[in-house]
Amino acid sequence: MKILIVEDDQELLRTMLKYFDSFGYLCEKARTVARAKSQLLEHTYDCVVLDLNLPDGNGLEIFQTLKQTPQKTGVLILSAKDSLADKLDGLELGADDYLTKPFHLAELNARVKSIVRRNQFKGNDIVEFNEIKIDTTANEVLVNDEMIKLTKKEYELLLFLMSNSNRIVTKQSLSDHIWGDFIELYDSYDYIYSHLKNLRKKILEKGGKDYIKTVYGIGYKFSANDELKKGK
Amino acid sequence: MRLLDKTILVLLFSALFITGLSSVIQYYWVKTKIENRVDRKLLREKKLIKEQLKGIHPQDGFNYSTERASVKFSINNNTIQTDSLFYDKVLDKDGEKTNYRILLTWVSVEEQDFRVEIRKEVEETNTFIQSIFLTFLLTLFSVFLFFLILKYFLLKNTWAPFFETLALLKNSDFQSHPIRFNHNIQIKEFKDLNAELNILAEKVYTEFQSQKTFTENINHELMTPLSIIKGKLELIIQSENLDEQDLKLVSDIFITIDRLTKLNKSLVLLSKIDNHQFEEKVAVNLPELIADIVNLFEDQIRAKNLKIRKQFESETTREMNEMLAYVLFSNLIKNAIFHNLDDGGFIHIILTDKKCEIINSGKNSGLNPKNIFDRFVKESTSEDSIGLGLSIVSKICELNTIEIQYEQTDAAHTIRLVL
Repeated sequence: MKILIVEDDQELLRTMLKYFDSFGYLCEKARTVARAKSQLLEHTYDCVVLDLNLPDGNGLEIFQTLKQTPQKTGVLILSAKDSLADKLDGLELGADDYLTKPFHLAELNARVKSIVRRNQFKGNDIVEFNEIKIDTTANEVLVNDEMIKLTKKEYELLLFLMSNSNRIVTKQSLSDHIWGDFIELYDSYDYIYSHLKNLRKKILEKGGKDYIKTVYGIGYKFSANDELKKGK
Repeated sequence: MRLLDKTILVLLFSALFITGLSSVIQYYWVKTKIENRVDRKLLREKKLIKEQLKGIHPQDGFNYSTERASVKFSINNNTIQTDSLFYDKVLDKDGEKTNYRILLTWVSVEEQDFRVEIRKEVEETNTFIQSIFLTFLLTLFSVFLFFLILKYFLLKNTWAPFFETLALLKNSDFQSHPIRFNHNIQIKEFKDLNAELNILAEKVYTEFQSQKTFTENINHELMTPLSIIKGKLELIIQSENLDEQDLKLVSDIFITIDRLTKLNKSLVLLSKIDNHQFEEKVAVNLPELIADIVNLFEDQIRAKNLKIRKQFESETTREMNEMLAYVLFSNLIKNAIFHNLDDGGFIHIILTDKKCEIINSGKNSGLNPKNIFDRFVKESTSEDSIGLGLSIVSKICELNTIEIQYEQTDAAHTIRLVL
């Protein structure tokens, strides 16, 4: 998967690159509108992560260049402005998603993956982890080829965890993913816990393994490796 | 009262007073003049009578009396009195009372005393007063007519620039557009006024714009470092060299950043509301919105075993900003859930065309209904505080002219929005 990150802040850029690197994505960076445009003309990308406030202009300008390229490139707007007008402008121009800073890397990753999935044709709408398969078009989950019935929240949590498999995902990022980051919910972690408990039970019932590991104090990890469990 | 009406009224009253006063003065002045003339005539008559009385003896049985004068012998020789002039009504031949000016005097001719009464009809005085009163009315009427025409003229011409300015002031949004007042006016005061208003309008516009950019910038400037901290922490926790204690520390930092983020977002939202940056309005379907929000909190509702009763009496829609409507109702419903009983409480949501009531069971919170909505921001940084949320709620209500009331009985809290 090839991703172009357009962001002027060096540190933020480095942080995103490091997280994406660990998934084996091919990442390139651009810190100005001009640089982003020339890179888009030279290479093809599966997804562009686009900051709007750039030193030489508004990030939305790159949509002119994107129109000239033959391949469909997904765009995720990363903005500090939580404004509806900006959001609508971006989505109207052809952005696929809009994420407001500050964000969780796990959330960014899940959204980038979802954009790429949607833009590819050849049956790539399946997210797979050993015996668990998620058909993201039909919103169906199969364990050992048997369908399991999940609530909307359980489904969202599972997809989110599987998108960030083998990484520790914080309780906050799960909570924000489900409830949004606007309202202060100081007991949401308890509900995350109980949803995950139900989810675990449903997967185990169909003969699936328990991949959802609790990492004490901080969050969860979707992993096949028991050794990675924290704590002694 | 309108400026011109007031002016015209003052002028009209002044005119009434002045013409009234001048009429009175005119009346007394002319009256005195006429009186003097009549009196002089009467005194002249007295002389004539005196001439005629020469050589007449009382023994002749003299007793002269006409309509104009009467002369009698005076019996008391010694009581010569001074002249007296007065008015009196006398019945004339036709049986009508007529006003007379009368000179009563005693004349002494050749040792003989006569009592002489000379009368002069002064009927003209009444007609005179009448004509003065008529002139007064006529003047007043023409003044009134003149003022009406004057008012029309002033409205159309002299004061027109002022009313233009006023209309522009009333109908303009100074914050989002630079407003220009016409300064091509002949009247100096209006020209000055518009020039000053132009300076003011310019100031309001630029200050609002810079405030807006400042808010946006601060938001941006804070969000990027927060993103970096969050991202770096997420990278740190992937490390395999951290033990449980380290992770606990990182988790604490995450929670703190979360609070910081939400606090900042709330403050930015408050300033955005203050800056009228939520102008786009749509017809928000309130029953749908409330149902969505209740759904969002289904976990919390189930955990606390709350009974939700929704009583929607109409398909109430309201023109307001969609985002603000969401923020408003999610804050209120969230509070109703979190400040409810720990087990088996209730939430009752009543929605009609005119109001929305959210009634929830709960402990006696000791909240003062009077200042519940304007708590100091500082209090709200503690985790279970509702201060900032309610500040936002009251700001949104203020912006949309929704009246918000809070009531507390023994076990129920009621928030009422008067839509």
